[in-house]
Amino acid sequence: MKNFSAGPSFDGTTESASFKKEIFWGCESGNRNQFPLDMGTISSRRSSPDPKPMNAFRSAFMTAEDRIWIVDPYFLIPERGLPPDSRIVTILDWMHDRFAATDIRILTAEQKEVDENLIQFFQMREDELNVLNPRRHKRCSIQVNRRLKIHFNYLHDRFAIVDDELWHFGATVGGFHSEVNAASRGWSAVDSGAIEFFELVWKRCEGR
Amino acid sequence: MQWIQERDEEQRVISNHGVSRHRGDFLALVLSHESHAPQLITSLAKKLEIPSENHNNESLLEMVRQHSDLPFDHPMYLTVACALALKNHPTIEIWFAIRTLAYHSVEIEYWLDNAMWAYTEIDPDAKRAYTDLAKALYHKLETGKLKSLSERRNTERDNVWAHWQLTEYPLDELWRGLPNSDFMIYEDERRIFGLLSEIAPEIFHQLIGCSANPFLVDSALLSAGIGAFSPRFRQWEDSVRAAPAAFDPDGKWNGSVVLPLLLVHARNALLQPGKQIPRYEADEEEVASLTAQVTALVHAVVKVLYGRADALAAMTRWSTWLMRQLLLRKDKAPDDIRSDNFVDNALLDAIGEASKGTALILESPSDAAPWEAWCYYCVRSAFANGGFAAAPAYEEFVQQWRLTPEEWFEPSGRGLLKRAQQHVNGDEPPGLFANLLAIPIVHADSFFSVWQQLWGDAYYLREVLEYGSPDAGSKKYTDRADASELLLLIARIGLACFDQATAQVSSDSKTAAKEIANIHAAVTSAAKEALHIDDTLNRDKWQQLLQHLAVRRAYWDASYRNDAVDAVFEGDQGPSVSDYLRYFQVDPAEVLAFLHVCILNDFKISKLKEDLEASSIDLRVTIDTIKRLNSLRSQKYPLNGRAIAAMKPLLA
Repeated sequence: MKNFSAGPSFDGTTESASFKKEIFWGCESGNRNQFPLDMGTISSRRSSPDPKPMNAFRSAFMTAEDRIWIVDPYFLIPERGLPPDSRIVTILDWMHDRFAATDIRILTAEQKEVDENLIQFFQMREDELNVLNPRRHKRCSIQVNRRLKIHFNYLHDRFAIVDDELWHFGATVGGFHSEVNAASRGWSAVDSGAIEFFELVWKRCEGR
Repeated sequence: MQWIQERDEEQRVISNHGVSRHRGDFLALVLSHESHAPQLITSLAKKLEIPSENHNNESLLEMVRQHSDLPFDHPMYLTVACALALKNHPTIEIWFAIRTLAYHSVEIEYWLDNAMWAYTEIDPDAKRAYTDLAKALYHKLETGKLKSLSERRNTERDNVWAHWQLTEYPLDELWRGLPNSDFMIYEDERRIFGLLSEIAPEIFHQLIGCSANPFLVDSALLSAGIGAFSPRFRQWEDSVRAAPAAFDPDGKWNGSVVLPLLLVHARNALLQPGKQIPRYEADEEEVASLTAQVTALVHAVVKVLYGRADALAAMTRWSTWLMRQLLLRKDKAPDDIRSDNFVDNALLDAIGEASKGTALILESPSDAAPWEAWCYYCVRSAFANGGFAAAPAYEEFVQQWRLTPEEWFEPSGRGLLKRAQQHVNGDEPPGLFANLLAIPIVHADSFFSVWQQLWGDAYYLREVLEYGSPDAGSKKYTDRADASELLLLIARIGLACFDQATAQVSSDSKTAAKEIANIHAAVTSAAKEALHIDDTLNRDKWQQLLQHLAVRRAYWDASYRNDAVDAVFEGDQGPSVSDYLRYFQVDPAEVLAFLHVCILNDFKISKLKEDLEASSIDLRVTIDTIKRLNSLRSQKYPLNGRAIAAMKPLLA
């Protein structure tokens, strides 16, 4: 096929943002920068009725300016013994009244613990945020797609993209998991191909 | 001709899991066993021929071990005995007994077909017996009456078959390479089919040609050297020639699964070398050599296919699928096999070239999935672009956009959305999809009028984008975003028309230049209109489109260029560069981004300075504002240091 690309070049116009690379472990005080080193800390986290998410991720989520894309089949499932809406309520709390991000996409799997009515809370929050901030440049859009396992059953790790920063999680995005697990941040979502990858998976899961 | 993977002989040995014995070894054993182990194999076979006996691998091997100083491996004797039993009694009952032995012995599993082959070399009856056996097994599997020894396999067979029965567009499943199935679901018998393909290829082709079970056919093809592990071009070529007609003259698929599966395997074999080359720091000589070899193979594949009576129809459907693959990926130049697009692009070119001079099928056939219509339209556009065929009539495409408000939620509106949304809008505008859709429009007498009509016909989409459709219910945002995406596609088509027309313009064609300038102004106006009403996620894409239009305005104006150009714009012809700057100045980052591209494209600094002055932009203040905003909220206002550094000549 003949090339269509005659004309001006747009190469070299973008500059990757640089991020500070960090690694975190989930713990009951929010998050820590090294492995839990005593059994007391490990077991208290393990037996916590409601394991705390990582502060660093919560903070990044709440202060995001544009995009929050999450791909995790188990992101919305509550820990054992907690009410079915508990995880969703926590995440909705992060979408505070002055929440600036406009493109929130959660790509997850359908789980019997979380029914469609609970997912509707995201739609309601989206409407509320748009009413609260009518002068937004772009409307806030919160999309939850639960067809990850059906259309893209190739994923092992979990990832989040906050603005242009890639987060990598060993367990649930946000560090909700109670067993020893870590997350790292500070990767460029553009340079690592995370944005292209997410768009590919999202498109597939839309059934297009 | 050989597949590239085929040339690597070593790989085939590795695939035998370390239990490799050559056919010659079995032939030697068959010819010599009576001299060094009289009656051993005959007595083993006799035992196996009593189906009621519960045979045990260990007890049978014990019989072998009783003979001392045997020149061959012990399991080889048992395997040859199995082959002999099947030769003497090619029945399902005996097969059951031998299959059980093979299930518990990796040697018998891997060697049985070699031992059977050895008998066919010395005994004409063996060929007949094994052919009968293979036919019986195939029919039993086809009718679902032959179950696997593994319950898991049986469940898998049931599941994939049930899924196949429910599939709305089964040809899509074939093109995808039957993604939900595993060729191993017929692992027990597949080697027998591989042997059949060698000793009686006509029977093999007849069997699979009549089969309606794609999973069984695929498994048989794989065993016959047409697939992932030991692909052989010759076998593929023979199978293509022997495969029954799969498509009617109008392109409709008649349900025969063999040819589509063969096409899938050909594409996989062509893609394989590209997967083994590192994307970075590859050996350029190796890449060039493999690219040339793959290109030659592409032409060979297409040549074989064009030897078939249903070639045109088959190519119509296959090229549509190939186009879809191209459109689903990002628009990267398919220069060599490292590009994911290389093979599909080369196949499309080769198909276009081969079909030159033939009357193409004009419409998607009745059994086509909804995505096919526009993909096939793009195929025909691509052929026109390559000079292989006439462009399709643009009216065919344009009339689909004439929607009334009532139709937006009717099948015609939903269909339009579905067709348009299958493709990535994430490329740099205009992107491959828009470029292909634009080709027939550019071929029209006045592409500007056609595009303007298209934008005009989409008035209802602008209504939806601004206010939402009353039929959208609670999904108002999605509805508006959908309308925005469709409008964005039209605008990108406009930009593609501009690009294609400018690529052809020459200094003496004033009419063409006027037409091009008109479409430039019209698309700019459309983008600005959309930016007034679009607050969906596509807003940034409109802004990006406007940047592209602005840069093109300068690029195609000789007064901005340090090199010669067949200019389209002159003087202050609107929208001028300063008009764009005035529009961008509400967001200092947009001004900076535009000027950065201008400098990278080596536009005249003096002209850009004039434009900054004309639009009352103080670049120093703009940069200070960007820096200040960044210091306040760095995440929201990122600083592009490279762009700021590039501004030096403009500040001097």
